[in-house]
Amino acid sequence: MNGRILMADDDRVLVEVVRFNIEAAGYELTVTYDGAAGLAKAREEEFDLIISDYQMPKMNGHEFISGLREESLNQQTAVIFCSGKCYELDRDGLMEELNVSRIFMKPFSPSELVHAIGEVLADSAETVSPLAE
Amino acid sequence: MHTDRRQLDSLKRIAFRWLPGLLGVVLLLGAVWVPSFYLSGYAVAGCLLLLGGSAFDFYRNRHAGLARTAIDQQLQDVAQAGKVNEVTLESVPVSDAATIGWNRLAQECVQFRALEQLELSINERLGSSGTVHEEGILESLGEGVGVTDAEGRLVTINRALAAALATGDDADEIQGRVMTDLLLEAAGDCDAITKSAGHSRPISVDFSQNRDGTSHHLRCSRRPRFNDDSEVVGHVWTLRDVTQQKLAEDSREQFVSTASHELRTPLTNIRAYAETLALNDDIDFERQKGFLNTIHTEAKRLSRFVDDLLDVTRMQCGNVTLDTHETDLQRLVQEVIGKVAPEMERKQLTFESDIPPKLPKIAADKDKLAAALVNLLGNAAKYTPDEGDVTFRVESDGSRILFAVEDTGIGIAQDELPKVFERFFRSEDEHVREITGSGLGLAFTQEVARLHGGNVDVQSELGKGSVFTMSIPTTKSSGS
Repeated sequence: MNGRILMADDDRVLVEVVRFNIEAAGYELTVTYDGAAGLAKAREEEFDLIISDYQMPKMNGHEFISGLREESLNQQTAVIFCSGKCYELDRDGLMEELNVSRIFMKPFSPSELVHAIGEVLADSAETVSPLAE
Repeated sequence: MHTDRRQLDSLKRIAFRWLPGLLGVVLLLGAVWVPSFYLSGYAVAGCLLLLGGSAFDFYRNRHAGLARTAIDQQLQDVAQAGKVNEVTLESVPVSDAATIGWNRLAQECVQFRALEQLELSINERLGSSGTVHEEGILESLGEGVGVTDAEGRLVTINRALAAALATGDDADEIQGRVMTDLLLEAAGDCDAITKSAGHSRPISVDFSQNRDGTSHHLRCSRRPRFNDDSEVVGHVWTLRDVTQQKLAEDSREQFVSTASHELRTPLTNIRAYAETLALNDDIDFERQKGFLNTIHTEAKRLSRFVDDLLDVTRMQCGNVTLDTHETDLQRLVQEVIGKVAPEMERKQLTFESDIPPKLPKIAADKDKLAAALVNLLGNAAKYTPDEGDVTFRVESDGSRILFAVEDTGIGIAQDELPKVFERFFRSEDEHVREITGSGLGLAFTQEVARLHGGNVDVQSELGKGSVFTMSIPTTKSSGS
């Protein structure tokens, strides 16, 4: 098992193909279909990486990750945003404000997402290792 | 020339006065010594000449002296007056060339002053008519226009500006007040307006104003006025109601945002599934088939969205005409029910239809009418929770056909009801946001009704349900 990933996205059709690719790469994927459910899950379990859509019902991605950073078991967990609103978003501001590692614009390539997951997890591991030693 | 004249006068004086006079004196003395009638006669004539000439000279000099005095006095008056034209020059009795010259000067001054007065009078008349003309133009403008002086006080204000400032006072009462104070009263706290009082640079500020219970969006601009020395002597202000423009801009932004989302979502899925199939050789056959079906479904979704978007846009632009034929409404209604029944069943909704046994045949665009009805019924199914109720009712009173769709769904908030037929409108309600939709369906349905000469209206209560009613005339008098 290479890592535990939490994904929040309301597009169930997309989630299925992303799940196929992520699990095929050896990761364990937990899925929620809105930001509120995602935040609740993040407060219950620890994950190595969180993937979030931006525009979701009940709680959007910005609110989800803000809540995550304030109080959860995943305050320092790496985050990847996947959004169709990337042209309207302040990408640099988001990355700095919410400590987002990558932002993927829809439509995106699942294989590129999986590759990015590997890089982000590797970076996270390097960040943690010196402390562990 | 003046010197020659004086010399001539002197020669004349010598020739006709002094010489005869002197000769007369000599002859007189001679007559005393040598009594002679002729000598005495010549002596008397010469003396008379001398006396006459002297008397003439005396009179003329006295006359010239008076004239010179008058001229001197008037020159002194000119010297003491602030401006030359404050003194009226008067002619003097002619006695010599100087007085002639003076009288000419006085006459020309009078003529010059008359011309000056005439010019002033003409300018005043033209100036007043120009001012009246400009005021007329300002009052006719729909845009608020005002002119302030160097202290920021209004010196000119048109009716539109007074109305936009909404102080309750008319233009005459507002004149003289400081423009930035009036703007802050209208706009409330506005940093840009407050800071504008500290400089004379051009500004352009947007602000909202609540007037008569409605929110207005106003745009205020200011440009400086300069004198001949390039110094700022005030500003020209304009105030324009851009509420409609702002609404159009917001609508356009929402359109772009919604359209791009609705286009990207199926495209994302098509790309993701296609790439997964292409890069993975070990996907089992059933899964492959599932992925291909998903690609197909998403492609249809994308196609449907593009068609809806083009249809609605073309209809709203007036570029679509109906393909009208005699339409059997009975058959059309049954086809529509058949199309929506599977979705009703999937959600376990109680779907009832109340259709008269006989419906008329009308001139209509069968495909568009059917699509509009499917849309209404599809919405009812979509926004009604599982196991809810949907009723489809058709009524005919001879002149009109009514199609009513009633549901026990999530309903629509009262403040959103006027907007539901707007293109791309989607409720902010989280229950609506959870459900996929392009926001085009009701806009499409309304256009279809309008093109058939009818309309669609809605009644709804949040949390209870909605009733959408489409009404079209049985005789064709379309809106196309």
